[in-house]
Amino acid sequence: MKSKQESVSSFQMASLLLTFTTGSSVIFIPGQITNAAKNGAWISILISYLLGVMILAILIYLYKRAPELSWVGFMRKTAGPWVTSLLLIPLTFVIFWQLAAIVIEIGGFFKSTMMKDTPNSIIQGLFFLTVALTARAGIEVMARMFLLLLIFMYIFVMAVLLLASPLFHGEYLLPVIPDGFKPILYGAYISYGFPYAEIALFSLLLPFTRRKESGRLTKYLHLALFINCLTLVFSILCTIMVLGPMSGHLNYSLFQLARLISIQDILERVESVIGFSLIIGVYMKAAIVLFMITTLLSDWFNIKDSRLLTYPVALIGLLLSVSMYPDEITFFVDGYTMWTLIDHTAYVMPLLIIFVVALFRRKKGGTSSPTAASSSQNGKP
Amino acid sequence: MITRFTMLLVTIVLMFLSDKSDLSKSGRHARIIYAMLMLPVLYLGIVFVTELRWPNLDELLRYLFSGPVKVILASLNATQ
Amino acid sequence: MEKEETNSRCNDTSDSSESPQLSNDTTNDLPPLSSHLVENRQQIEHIFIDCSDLILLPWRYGPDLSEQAFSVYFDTMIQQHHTNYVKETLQDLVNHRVGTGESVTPEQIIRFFQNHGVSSGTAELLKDFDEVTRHITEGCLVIFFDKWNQALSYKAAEVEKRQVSEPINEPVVQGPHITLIEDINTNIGILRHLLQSPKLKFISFNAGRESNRTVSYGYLEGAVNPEVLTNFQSRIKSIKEEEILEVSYLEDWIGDSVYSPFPQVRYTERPDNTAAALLDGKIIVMVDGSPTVLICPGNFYEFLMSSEDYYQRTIFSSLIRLLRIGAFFIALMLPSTYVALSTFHSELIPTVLLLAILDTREGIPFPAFMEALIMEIFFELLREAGIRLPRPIGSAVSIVGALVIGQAAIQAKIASPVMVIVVALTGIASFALPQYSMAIALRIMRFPLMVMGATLGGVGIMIGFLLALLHLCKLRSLGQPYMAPTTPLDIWQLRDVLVMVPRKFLLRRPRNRHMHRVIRKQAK
Repeated sequence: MKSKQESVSSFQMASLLLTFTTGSSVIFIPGQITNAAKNGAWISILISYLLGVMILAILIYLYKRAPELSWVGFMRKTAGPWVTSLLLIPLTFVIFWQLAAIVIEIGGFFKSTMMKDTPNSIIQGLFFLTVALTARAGIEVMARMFLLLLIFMYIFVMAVLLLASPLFHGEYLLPVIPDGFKPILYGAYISYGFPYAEIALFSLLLPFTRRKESGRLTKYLHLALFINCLTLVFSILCTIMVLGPMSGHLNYSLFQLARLISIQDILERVESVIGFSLIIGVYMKAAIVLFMITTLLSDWFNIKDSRLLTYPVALIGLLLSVSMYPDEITFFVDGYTMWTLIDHTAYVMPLLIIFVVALFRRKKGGTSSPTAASSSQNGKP
Repeated sequence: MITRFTMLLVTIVLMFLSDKSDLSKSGRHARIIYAMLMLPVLYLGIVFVTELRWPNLDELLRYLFSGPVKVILASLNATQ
Repeated sequence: MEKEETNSRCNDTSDSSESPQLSNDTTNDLPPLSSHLVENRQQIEHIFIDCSDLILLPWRYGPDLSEQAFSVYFDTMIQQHHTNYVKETLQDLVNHRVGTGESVTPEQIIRFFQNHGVSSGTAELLKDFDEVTRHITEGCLVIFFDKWNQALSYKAAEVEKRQVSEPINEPVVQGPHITLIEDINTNIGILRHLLQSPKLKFISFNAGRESNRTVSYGYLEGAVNPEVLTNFQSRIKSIKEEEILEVSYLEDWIGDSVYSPFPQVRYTERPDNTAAALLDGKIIVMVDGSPTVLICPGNFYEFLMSSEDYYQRTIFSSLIRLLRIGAFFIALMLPSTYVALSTFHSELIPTVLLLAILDTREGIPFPAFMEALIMEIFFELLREAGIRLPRPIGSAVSIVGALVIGQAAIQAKIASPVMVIVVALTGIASFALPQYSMAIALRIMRFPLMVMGATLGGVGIMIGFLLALLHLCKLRSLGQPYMAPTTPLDIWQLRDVLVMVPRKFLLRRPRNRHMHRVIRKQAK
C-alpha cells in the first residue's frame, strides 16, 4: 500500500492544494492574463475557475470511489493495465517537462534580479537540491512545512497589495470589456492551463489523505480552490488599478507593483519581499511536483519506497532544465500558449476518460469491458 | 565542457553514495527501475556536456502541439 | 549547610572488580547468611576489604550480656547520633515489650522481628550477602545477631544535602523561589505536595552496576498521552547497566534524533515548571543526585516559553513571547543577513544606513564574512571562558575583556563598530531565550548560515533557512511532531503558543491535547 503509511489530514491536503495552485501563479498570472484580456482579465479567471471546480469535483468523486487505492491502482482497476500505461506515458513526459519548466522560470528570475553572474546550471542545481531534499522528507513533512511558508507568503502578498492601495486608480478598471469577449476567452484559455488544469495531478496525492477524514475533504478542497481564485482575482484587480494599461507589458506584475511602493522613504524596495515569496512559492510547487513524479513512478512500477527515486528524477529534471531552452522567448511562448493544450491533453483527458469509464462500469455493474469510452488520447479538447 | 563533465560526474557519484544504502535494501526490481531512470540521465547528460543540439523534450512537445495551438489561437483572435 | 557529601567510593578489591560487565559475578555467588556470627563477620570483612570508613561495631546483649551481635555501617554516610538512636530503639523495644536488655534471648528477638512486631519500625530482614552489601552501600545500618541467619537493616543514611533555596539558573521576578535539590526523595515529596492526586504516578528503578542510582519517571495519569507513555517506556527499558550520573545522559535514549542540534527534551530545576509540565501531559524523569528534571516530549515552542509568562499579565506575556520569537530570529539570522546584505545586496539597505555602514567599514582589511567570523569566534571564546572564571575575577575580566578588547579591535581596524553591534546583539538575543539548550542550537546553526550567506548571498540564507525549517518539521520528540501546534495545525492549542490567552480560557478547558481528545470523545 502507501509507503510507510504516510497520511495527512484533509486540512493539510487542502493547504497543499492552495500552495500548489497559488504558489507560483500569483506572481506570474496577473501579468499574463492582463496582457491577453486587458481589463477583463478577472472575468477570465472566473471562467477558468469554474472549469477548475469541475475538475476538482471529478477528482474527489473518483477518489471516494476507491480511497484505499492509489491513483494508478484505480486506473488499472477501472480501465485495465494497458490503457493505464497508454494514458500515463504522455502524462509522465509532460510532468517532467513541467518540473523542468518551473525551475527554468525561477532560474530566469534569479538570474535577472539577484544572481546575475552565476551560471544557470548552478542556480538550477542548487534549487533542485533543495527541492529534492524536501520531497524526500515525505508528504507529511512537506504538508507541515508548507503550511507555515504559505501563511508567510500570504501575509507578504496581502501586505504588499494593501500597501499599494495609495496608488490605486479605480478608473483603470473600466471599460471592462474593451475589445469584445474573445480576449477574455483567450485569457481564460491561458489561465485554465496554468493553474487550473494542473489540479488534475492531485489525483496522485489524494490517496494520502487520512481515511477517517475524507468526509471533510470535499469542503476543504473546494474552499482552498475558492481562496485561490479570490487571491488571483484580487491581485489582478490591484495590478490593473495600479499599472493600468501598462500591466500587460510587464512580466512579473506583482513584483513591479511592489517596486512602486514607497512609504515615507523608509519602506522602500519591498520587491525583495515579493521576490522571496515568489521563490518560496515556486519552491513549494516544485517540491510537490517532484513528489508527484516519484509517487507516480513508484506506483506504476510497483516500487515500495518512492523516496528511492527522488534523486534520479531530480537529476533528470535538472538536466532537462539546463538543456531544453536556449532562449527565453521560445520558453514563454511554449509556457503560456501551448501549455494549456499540453496539460489538458496529458493531465485532464486521462482523468476524464477514467471518469467516463468509471461511470459506465458503475451503471453496468462492473461487467462491461473498459474499451467503450476510451477514445484516442490525443484528441482535441 | 570539462567543468560541466566533472560537475555532472560529481553529482552522479554523490547521488549514488546517498542512495547506496537504500538500493542495497530494496529488491532487484527497484534497482532495475533506478537503472532505467539513468538512461535519460545519460542521454541528457551528453546533451548538456557537449552542448549538442540533439532532439529534446521541448522539441517533441512543440512538434506535436504547435499545429493545433495555432488553430486555437487564431480562433481566439490572439495576437501573441 | 550547603555542602553536599558524595558517596564515598569504596575500593572494592574483591573478585567482582575484574569482570564488571558480566551480571553473574561473585556478588551473586555470595552465600546466604549463616547463623554463626564469626562467619558473617569474616565474610563482611572480606567483601569490604580496604574500605576504611566501614565500621564494624560489636556489642552484646542478653542475660549477662552473653549474646553477641555486631553492627555494620559506613561511618561517612551515617550521622553518629543515628547509630546510637537505632541501638537505643532496639533496646527500648526490648525493654518495654519483650524484656529488659539483659534478659532478652536471641529466640525472642528472632520471633519479634520475624513476625513484624508493631514497634519493629523500619527494620528490614535480609537473607543473603547480596542484599546486605546493597543495603550497606545505600547507607543502611545492618545488624547481625549470633544464632540468627538473618540480619536487620535500618535506613539511616543522612548525606549532607543542599537546602531548598532560590533556583540558580531560572530565577523569576514573581513566583515561588524554591528549587529541586539533589535528593530524589525530597524532590518527589515537593512534587507530590504541588500535585496532590493519586493520579500522579512515579515509577522508580535502579540503574548502573557500580553507581546504583535511583532513576524515577513520573506522569499524571489522564493527562499523558498513552502512546507517548508506551513509547517512552520502551526506550527506557534498556537502561539497566549503564552508569547514569546525570539526568541528561538519558537524553540519548529518549530523544528521537541524537545528531539534531535542536533539543528534544527540556530541563528545569523549578518544581512549579515541573508541575505545570505534568499537568500538560508530559513525562518527567529524575535521577538521584541531580537537581535537574528532564521533561519530555519537548516541543519547539516550549523552548521559547518561561514560567514567568504565567505569573504576569496577559498582554505583557504575549508581547514578551513575541519578543522572544524576534530574539530567536535575530540570534539565528542576524550575522548572516548582515554579511549577505553588505556584501551582495547593498541596494536593499536604506541609503542613509548604508552610508553609515560603509563609512565605518573604511580601512578594514577583511571582507565582511571574515570580520563576522572573527568577532563571532571571539564572542564564543568569551562566553566559554566566562563560565569557568572564579567569581571574584569574573566581573573585572568581563568588563575589561569586553570593553577594552572590543574597543581595541575597533581601533585596530580589525572589526567595524557595526559588526561589533551585530555580534553583541546576536549574543544578547540568544541569552533572551529561556532554555539554554535552544540557545546552544542557535549558536551551532548560526555558522553554517553565515557561510551560506557569505557565499550565495540572500539566496543562500533562504536555502539555509528552508533546510533548517525542513529539519524542524521533520523532527519528532517521542513520536510527537516537534513543531506542533502550528503544524499539524491545532487551533485550540495555539491559544498558548504564540500569544497568551487570559488564564481564564487557558485553565478552564483541559490543558493538553490528550485530555481534550478524551473529553471530546466522551462527550460524543
